[in-house]
Amino acid sequence: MTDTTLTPTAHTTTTALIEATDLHKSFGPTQALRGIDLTVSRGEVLAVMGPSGSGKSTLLHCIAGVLPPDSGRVVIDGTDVTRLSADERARFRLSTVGFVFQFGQLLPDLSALDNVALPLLMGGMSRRSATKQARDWLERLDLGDQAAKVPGTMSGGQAQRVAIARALVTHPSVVFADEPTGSLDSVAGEKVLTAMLNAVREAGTTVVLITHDPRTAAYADREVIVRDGRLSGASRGGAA
Amino acid sequence: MRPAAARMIVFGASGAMRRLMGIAAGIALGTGMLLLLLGAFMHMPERDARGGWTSARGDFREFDEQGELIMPEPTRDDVLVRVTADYARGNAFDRVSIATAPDTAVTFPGGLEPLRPGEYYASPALMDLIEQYPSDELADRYGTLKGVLPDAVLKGPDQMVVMVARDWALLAADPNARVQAGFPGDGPRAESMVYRVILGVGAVALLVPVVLLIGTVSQLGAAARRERYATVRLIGAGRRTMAYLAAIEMGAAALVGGVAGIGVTALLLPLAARLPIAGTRSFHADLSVSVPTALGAIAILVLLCAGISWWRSFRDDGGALGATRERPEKSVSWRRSILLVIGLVLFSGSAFMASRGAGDEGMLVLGLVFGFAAVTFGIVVAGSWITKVVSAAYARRARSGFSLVAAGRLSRHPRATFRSVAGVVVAVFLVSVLAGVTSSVNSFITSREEPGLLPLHAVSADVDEWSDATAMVAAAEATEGVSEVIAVRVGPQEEDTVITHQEARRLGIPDLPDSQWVAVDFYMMLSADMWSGKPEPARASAAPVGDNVRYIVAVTDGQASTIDRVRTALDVTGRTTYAPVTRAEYGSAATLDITHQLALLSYIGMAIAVGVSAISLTVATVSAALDRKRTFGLLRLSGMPVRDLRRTIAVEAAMPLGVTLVASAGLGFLVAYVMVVTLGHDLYLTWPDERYWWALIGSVALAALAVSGSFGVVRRSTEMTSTRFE
Amino acid sequence: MDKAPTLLGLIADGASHGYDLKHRYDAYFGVERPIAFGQIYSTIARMIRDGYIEALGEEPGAGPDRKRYGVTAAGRDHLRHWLSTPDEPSPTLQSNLFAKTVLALLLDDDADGLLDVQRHAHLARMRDLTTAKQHAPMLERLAIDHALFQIEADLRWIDLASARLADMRQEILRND
Repeated sequence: MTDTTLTPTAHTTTTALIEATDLHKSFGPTQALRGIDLTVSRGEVLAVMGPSGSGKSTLLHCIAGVLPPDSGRVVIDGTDVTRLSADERARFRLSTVGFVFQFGQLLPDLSALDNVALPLLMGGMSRRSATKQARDWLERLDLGDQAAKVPGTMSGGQAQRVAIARALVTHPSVVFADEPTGSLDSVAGEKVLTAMLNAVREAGTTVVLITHDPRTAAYADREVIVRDGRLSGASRGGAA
Repeated sequence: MRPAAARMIVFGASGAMRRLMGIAAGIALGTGMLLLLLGAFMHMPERDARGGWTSARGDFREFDEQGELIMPEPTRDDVLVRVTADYARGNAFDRVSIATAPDTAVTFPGGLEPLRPGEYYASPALMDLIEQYPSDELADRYGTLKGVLPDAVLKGPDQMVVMVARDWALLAADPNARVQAGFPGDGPRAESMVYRVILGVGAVALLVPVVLLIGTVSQLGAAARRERYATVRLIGAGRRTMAYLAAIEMGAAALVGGVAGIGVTALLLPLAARLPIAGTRSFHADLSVSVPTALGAIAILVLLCAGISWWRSFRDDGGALGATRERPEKSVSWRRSILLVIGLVLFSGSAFMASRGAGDEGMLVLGLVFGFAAVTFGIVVAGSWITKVVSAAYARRARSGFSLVAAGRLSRHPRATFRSVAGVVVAVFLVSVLAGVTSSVNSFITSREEPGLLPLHAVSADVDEWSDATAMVAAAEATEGVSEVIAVRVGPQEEDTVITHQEARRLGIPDLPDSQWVAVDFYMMLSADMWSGKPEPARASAAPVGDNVRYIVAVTDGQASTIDRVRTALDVTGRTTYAPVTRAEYGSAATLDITHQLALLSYIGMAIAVGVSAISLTVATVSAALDRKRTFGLLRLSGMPVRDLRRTIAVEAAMPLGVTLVASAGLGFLVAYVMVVTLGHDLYLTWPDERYWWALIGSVALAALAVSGSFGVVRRSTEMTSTRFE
Repeated sequence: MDKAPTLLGLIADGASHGYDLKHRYDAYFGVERPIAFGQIYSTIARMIRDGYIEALGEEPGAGPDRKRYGVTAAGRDHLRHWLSTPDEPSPTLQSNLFAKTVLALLLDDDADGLLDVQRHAHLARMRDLTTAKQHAPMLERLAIDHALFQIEADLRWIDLASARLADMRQEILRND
């Protein structure tokens, strides 16, 4: 790798929000990613599918800047995240990326409002502003009456929508979701999905969504299939 | 990050507050004890300085060519000092006999007015005795009471000491009286140093179990905390941010605990003040630290806790995905035993230098204390490596289900498994050290009547050449309660002490030869208990030459009043080199030795160490059981009986414990050996008394109790419901 | 199931004459209902007419069942096109896809890729239906959901087939 880090630019000249080039990642003897190239356009909703053990989650972690790949490059919104230190990546995530995971991973003893306000507070916003924005997002996702409740007292679908609010509250450029409806039944899942997609389409946020469920993937603009650490042939072809 | 965010993350979980309170409690306990020990440590030189006047510092007296004692002339700046042991009602105390010139310019300790011959000052504790008993039993020995010794010249509130002024010429005639230029303002070297070392060692002995307890309590709710922190990491907190959060958490707990510790100190102070240190109890002021010192100590504590927490969090950072997979422990290597080795070298080296009197005292104290601390912590550090090595061997031979599970956990998590039992191992080490040291002392001597030894309550006085033996004998005979007075004379050979045949028979000495005079081993007849020896048998002797009386023995009816009365009588009429004393009192004088006083402190230390370590083990086992709720639940679900789960836990505790226990006991005795041989006075290690074995059995029993206490938790927490993936 | 391309594929794999074709067809695809000779010959005739196969000569012996056939270049193109074109969701999809998969394995073509192509087509179809659903009235939405579930069932079957490709390959090689 002889490229220097791309300095973050105020705007990019391409429409690609995420460009991942030749990603490799191994865990001990297991090779999770064997050279993946992936481009995600700005504003696109991409579904990442594939059998279990195919490397989907690892791919997500790598292009989200959570896990540094062994080799290869990931450029998100003009910034080469593979060149950042762990602390810089953390700061980058806070400002640019949102996460929604299968089991929510909300802080169990904080109210929904506090959970959503947390990323803003971590970024230095005042308590008042953070709380106000958090409340707005909860209203938008139809959770206004749940603001004071803790995740344990909500249904799965409600908790997932809180997680979505938390992911979106910082106005990220991209949201990564790993099986967001995996633990929900079809009705609840659909509700969560439509809520999320309505919210992101309004803001033009890019979404990368891992799922094994075709009906969930059907909400995306495009899908890629990962198998054995590589994208399947039909998936390679670039942006929609 | 906003403080609001930090507050939410660190304190915003119910389990978190419980955990922090637990940590704070442990810190409060440790701080409480530390502040006490710190106070005692810091005030020790001052304490010694206050009592410094009770030791004679001048040069030994000189004799001229004819062998005659050179009499010093009184000057305005000199004082003659002679310190002897005195006894009253079974209490032993110091009698400081002094003499000054009539126009003396010597400053008396504590700004007291100079004494004139025949006057005395007594300490409050001694005043109690003087006022309580008739003067012919005690007060007459000293003369006229001038006043009570103020606290400023006493080592402790219960110190018994008397300063008696004698005539210069009379006192100068005593070859043991020394001339010194005024009263010393400091304490004698050896005592201060040894006690400081003892305090330092004691601090380590008490604190290590407490530190381990704190470490164990920090593990409570660790799993949930890890998950919480991993989520926050994912959202976008960096490693340094997380480290600061951890530091805040620990710092807050340390602050609360530290301040609460001041309360603990206040509670413990009256109790601690009652413990005998260097011969006396303590003034409250001698155990207190000043407010700035206390705050400084707490500030250091907070910084230390926060710093360690910051470092550990930074180093052990799990990353954003930390909660999704169980991370293996970092491997342990033989390098872990380095601290232990360094500690042993430092400790032994300092002790060796101290015994030779070489090196700066302050440095040696630090060397001994830090060496001991390094050894103690070294055991904790090295323990996990030993566990790993042994469990690898065990794993190879594992056959049944539970031993497989246990072996798996032991070899993959040697640090966690050893940490649970570390408290007990350290407690055993400390207990062994303490037991080894106290074994060097003959345990509390019980004296009994025995033929061949002096009657238990016969008062013996030695007579110097200026005393009027006849008057002394007469005074003794005239004392109420005295049945017989025997004058023991110098025999024809100067080393012999002789008495008449009838006197010997009346004293109950067996196997007497037929001669009229018999030579007896008088000294051993008096002091046999202390040396655990026997006097030589009586020999036939020729009559003594002249009327040279060495000792006077007054046989009493055993009443305390009689003993003191005859003692006073002898003291007043004669001038004895050493205070008249009974065999019973002479034996118990040995218990006043420094090393004997260790026994009390050490047993208290043992109790605390064992108690704290038991708590530590319980907490550790229970929290480990709770953390592995899911694993155990699955094992049960797949058919493993609860009995086997219990066995798993038992093996996981027993294996590291068993292996390291023997090593730590041995190490403890080694350290005790070094301490006793180099710091004690002609002492040696013997087989520890039964209290040690009880303490050892107690420790192991407590450990077993603690482990089995977690069984209930395991069974309840692995009911079928715990395997639902929440 | 499209019998013509299937037979074409078998010929491409090396089956030469009518009898051989029937034998092999029945082995893979005729478990429930063996193909009739008549159908074979009529299909062969049609394929000759379309230029996909050509006669290669005769083996000694009487009868049309002894004629040998081979695939033309046009035939190969047609076959390739058929293999790589996804099917519309329909009742015959499964049997078609199965035939394609088996032939891809026989011809050492990319069976995985083929299934992927079908997946993408199905997903695209689901995408269209889902988008339509957003703006549809309630009753129509239920009908769309039904269609979506059907397509999903297909996808599940495709996943299963995909997972079993290795086993299938082994069995096919054994049968040869």
